[in-house]
Amino acid sequence: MRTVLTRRFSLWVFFASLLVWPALGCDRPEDKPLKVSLSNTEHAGIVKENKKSGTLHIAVSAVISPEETFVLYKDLLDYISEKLGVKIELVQRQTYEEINNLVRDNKLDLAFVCSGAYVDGHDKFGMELLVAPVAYGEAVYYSYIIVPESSPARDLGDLRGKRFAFTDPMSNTGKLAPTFMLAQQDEDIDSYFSEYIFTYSHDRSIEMVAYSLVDGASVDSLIWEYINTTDPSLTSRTRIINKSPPFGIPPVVVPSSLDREMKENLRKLFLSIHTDEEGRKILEKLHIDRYIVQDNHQYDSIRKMRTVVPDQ
Amino acid sequence: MKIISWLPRFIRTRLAYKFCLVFLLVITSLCVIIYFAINSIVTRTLYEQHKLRGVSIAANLASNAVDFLLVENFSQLQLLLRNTQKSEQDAVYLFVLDAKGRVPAHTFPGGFPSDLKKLNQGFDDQPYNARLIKIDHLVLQDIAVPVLDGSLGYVHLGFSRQTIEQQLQNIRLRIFFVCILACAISIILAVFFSRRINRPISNLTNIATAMANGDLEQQVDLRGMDEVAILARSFNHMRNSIRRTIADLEKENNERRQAAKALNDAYDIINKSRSVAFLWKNVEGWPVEFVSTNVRNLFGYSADDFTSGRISYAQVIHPEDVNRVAQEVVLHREMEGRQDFDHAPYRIITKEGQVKWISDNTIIRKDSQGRVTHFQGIVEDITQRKQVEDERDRLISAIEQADEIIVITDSRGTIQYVNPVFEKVTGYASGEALGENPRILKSGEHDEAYYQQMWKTITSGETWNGRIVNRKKDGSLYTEEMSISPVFDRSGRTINYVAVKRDITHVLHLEKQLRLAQKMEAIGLMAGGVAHDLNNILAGIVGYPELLLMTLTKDSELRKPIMDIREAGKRAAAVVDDLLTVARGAAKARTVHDLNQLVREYLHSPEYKKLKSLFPKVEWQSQLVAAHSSIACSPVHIKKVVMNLVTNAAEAIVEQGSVIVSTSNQYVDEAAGAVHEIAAGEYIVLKVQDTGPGISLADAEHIFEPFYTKKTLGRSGTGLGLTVVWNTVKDHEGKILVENKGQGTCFVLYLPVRAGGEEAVPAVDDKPEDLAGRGERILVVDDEPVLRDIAGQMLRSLGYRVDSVGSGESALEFIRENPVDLVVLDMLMEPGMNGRQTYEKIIRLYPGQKAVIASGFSKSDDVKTALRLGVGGFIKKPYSVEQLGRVVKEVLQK
Repeated sequence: MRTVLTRRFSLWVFFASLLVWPALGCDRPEDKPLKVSLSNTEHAGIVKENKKSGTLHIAVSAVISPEETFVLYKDLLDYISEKLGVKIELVQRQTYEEINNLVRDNKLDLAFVCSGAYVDGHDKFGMELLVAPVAYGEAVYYSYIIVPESSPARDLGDLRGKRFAFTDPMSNTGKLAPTFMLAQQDEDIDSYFSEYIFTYSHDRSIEMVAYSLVDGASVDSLIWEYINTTDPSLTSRTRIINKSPPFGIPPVVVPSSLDREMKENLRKLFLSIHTDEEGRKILEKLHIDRYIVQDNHQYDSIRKMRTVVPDQ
Repeated sequence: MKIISWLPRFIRTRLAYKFCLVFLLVITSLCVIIYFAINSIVTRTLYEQHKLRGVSIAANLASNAVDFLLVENFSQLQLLLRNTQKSEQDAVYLFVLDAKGRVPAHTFPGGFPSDLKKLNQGFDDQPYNARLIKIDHLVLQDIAVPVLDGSLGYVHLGFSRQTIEQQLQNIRLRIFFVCILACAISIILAVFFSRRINRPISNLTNIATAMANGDLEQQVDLRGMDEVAILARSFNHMRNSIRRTIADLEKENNERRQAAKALNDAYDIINKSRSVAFLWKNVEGWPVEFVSTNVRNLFGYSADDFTSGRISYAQVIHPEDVNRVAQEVVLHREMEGRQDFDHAPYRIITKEGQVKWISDNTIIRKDSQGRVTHFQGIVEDITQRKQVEDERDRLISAIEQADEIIVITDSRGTIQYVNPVFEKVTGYASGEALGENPRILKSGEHDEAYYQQMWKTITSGETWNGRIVNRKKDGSLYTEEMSISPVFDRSGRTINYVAVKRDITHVLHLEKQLRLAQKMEAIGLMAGGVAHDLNNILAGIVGYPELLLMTLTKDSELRKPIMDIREAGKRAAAVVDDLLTVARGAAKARTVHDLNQLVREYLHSPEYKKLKSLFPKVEWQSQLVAAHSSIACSPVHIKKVVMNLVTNAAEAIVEQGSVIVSTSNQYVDEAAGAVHEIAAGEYIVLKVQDTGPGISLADAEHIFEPFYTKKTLGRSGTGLGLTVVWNTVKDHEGKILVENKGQGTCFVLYLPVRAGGEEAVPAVDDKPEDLAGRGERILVVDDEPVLRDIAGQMLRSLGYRVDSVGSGESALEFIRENPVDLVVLDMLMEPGMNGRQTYEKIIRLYPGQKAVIASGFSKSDDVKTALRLGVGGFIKKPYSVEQLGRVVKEVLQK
């Protein structure tokens, strides 16, 4: 009798467990929805803020894309913040001109700008040269005319009537240099190329050439060389068909109104980065040997080109 | 409750319904389970995919928002959000929350609901964060994706589940219908199969019911290979097995009943018997695990006293026996292969304190590992038997250790028992004697009538007493005194005869020796009594003829008869001398002599020459070859022994024959010594052998007795010759044996060899000498007038001046007045002082007075004392002129 009861009980337990099992698997406590009210609303949106005191505003021109710039310069900016004991705020803009305007309006304390933008800023509103980097052993850089690897073009002349990509209207290597080359042949970009675009960063220009979205592009030699080491699969799809004469390397600038002591502190700091272990590692990542004090005249060749191409 | 009340009814219902219901229940349950399982899985999968889609949209948006956020192009960002919302039907809202907690773009037309900012909480470095939120009645999935690892902020997407919910609803409906269909088909199949299975089962049920009612004859007739057919066959097989099992069980039951009855009977037998069954544990004290209830009869204790542990078995064993019992247990328990053993009987003490003897047969019990766990035993009271056995043992010991010979025969006279004394006396071992008739001992010394008389007595139920001569196994005879009694059984029938016998051979021998000794003693007494007087008388018979002969002429006719008188006197003196030797033994003073020399001296003596002349036809031989021939002896006696034996040998020869005298050496060992009754050692054997007719057996026993002679009296000898020989040999620690072989007699004498010591005294040559005196004055003292006269005449004839007196006192008186050169003193003088006393007095007057002692006896103690005091010589009476003259001369010349 006892055995029969036990067996029957086991049977009931079996069926009950079968019924309960799927129910257990269905809803879990964490799946319970969180109640949210939409009744409390606020005014959202952001207006561009004025410069805050106690914070160093440093801009980096869009030599490369904003995301790449953010990643690349983050360590250097953190280093400066730590050495000077101040907060650093990175400021990026789509164009060189926007950065130059922020320098002009004293909304920045320091900026990494393109050589073209420097010449423009220096000549127009006294943008001051703080230091300049030495990369690959020299304090100069070049403009490369690149075409897709499969392109039959051998020089700039082969790109007539083709699609072309410039970087920024204010860019030296990305716009001024090729325009100057064409100007010397009495050509202008509007008639020479079937169409052209501004990519607003050298890495995007390289990418567009690599994927044959354009037939050619003019890019900063420093950026091409940098990508050639970090992502050689991309540069290997491009081919350099023209290398310009050397230009003064893109410098680090400050507004002329910047406090003199701060200016000196910043220069000293830049000139000494390569002397400590941490700074050297950061410079290695940026493919920079060290920073030096650069003479303004190093950029005269650019000034000369600007006279030939007055639009710049 | 309803189910519980319904269940019993369901259990009792038909198998087909049960099958249908169970089948339906199972299928339905499975359908429900499947429905919920599928629903659960599909819901989860769709929700997961929906969520991942939302994540993908948000992630894409976040990627696109990076540059806008970096270059602070918020209008473009807003445009991006709006366009995305438009393209995604389920996107209820979108907003970007920057790193500083600001909302640079969103899709809420009426302003941004600040509560949504809370959704960003709890975001930990994950690629996205999704959580369910409920806005009014709408349940949404809020998906947050970081922009540039969160360093620029987060994109939030409010993703509706509406589309998904509709899809889920459709799927659930389809599953439900499939389940319903499955249930319906299952019921139809269940009904079909239950009917099909039930039919043969009903058949089986009917037969099983019949079997339950005792009908085991019916068989299930189902063919095929399906389970029911197999079941039917198994059922038939089972039916056969049950029939066999029932038969086996009945058989087994019968056997068990018989075994139980047998066990009860056995137990009853044990309990009614005098034997007690025990089961002991193999531990110290042997506690009892089981004991038959009749234990009380033997031990006084109840079975419960033992099994309850109140009393262990060791406690009831007698303290003097318990160690021995334990040793026996240990001995047999350790013995390889030992199954059971018998204890030697031991004692127990009953509850009432009574001591009982018991026998104990113990069986050893072992477990499967071979360890001894228990002992079981049958214990029996053997007190009475033990007493009887002890009694019998005592009797046996008494018989075995008795000095008497005990022989038990059956009624026909066949020997059934002999005791060790029988073996010792007869030489027959027990094994040789048993089964034989006592006539094996028959000596032939008794005639048949003697034995018939004996049988007649004992068969008539009387006891026969008597003396019988029997023969030992080695052939020698022995005499036994015996008493034979019949043994009767209860009915009075003779069943055995018991002979109790004593070997009296030695006793008879001793008796004979005693008789001889007594005879000797009587002779000695007589001889001692007459010797002195006789010697004194003979002194005259020997002395006067000698004096007469000195006066007669050589051709005088009187000379012959006077010489015969003198010889007769000498012979008479010799008889007296022999008598004294026999009575008092040979002289105790021993000197070492060469026996060969003594024999030779005899062979050169006048007596031997005379003998040879008397027996001219006899051949005389001598073989004196003993290398070691020194003996400590009295030479006079030994020479006399030789003479007597040689004389006897010569006289034994009838006409012709030979007499052989020989000496040799022989070592007598212990065994031979025991036979001849002499000590072991080196002996010189003197044999005197003749070739005469020999001595009859009857005579042989008496030849050493005094005056027992076959010789013609007066022809020769004194009747004491062999008696003297026997006594002399005995006095010299020797032995004389008579070998009587029918061809003559051989006397064999064993005399112990004296190794080294005193040199043999060479015999004095009796050459003629000058015995004449020179007128020395001599006083003769003797109470016998004849002897005074003879001595006086003899000494005077030799040239001495002689005076004589009749007593010691007279001698003292004389000598005080008249000193003399020498005194001849008789030892025994009556009444008054004897010779020694007289001499003692004389030497007080004249110290160093020379004297000679004369006596009819050999040297007595008084003679020896006198010699020690200073008497110079001794002469035995009767003496000749020569003998007296020599001793007087010797003393005077000292």
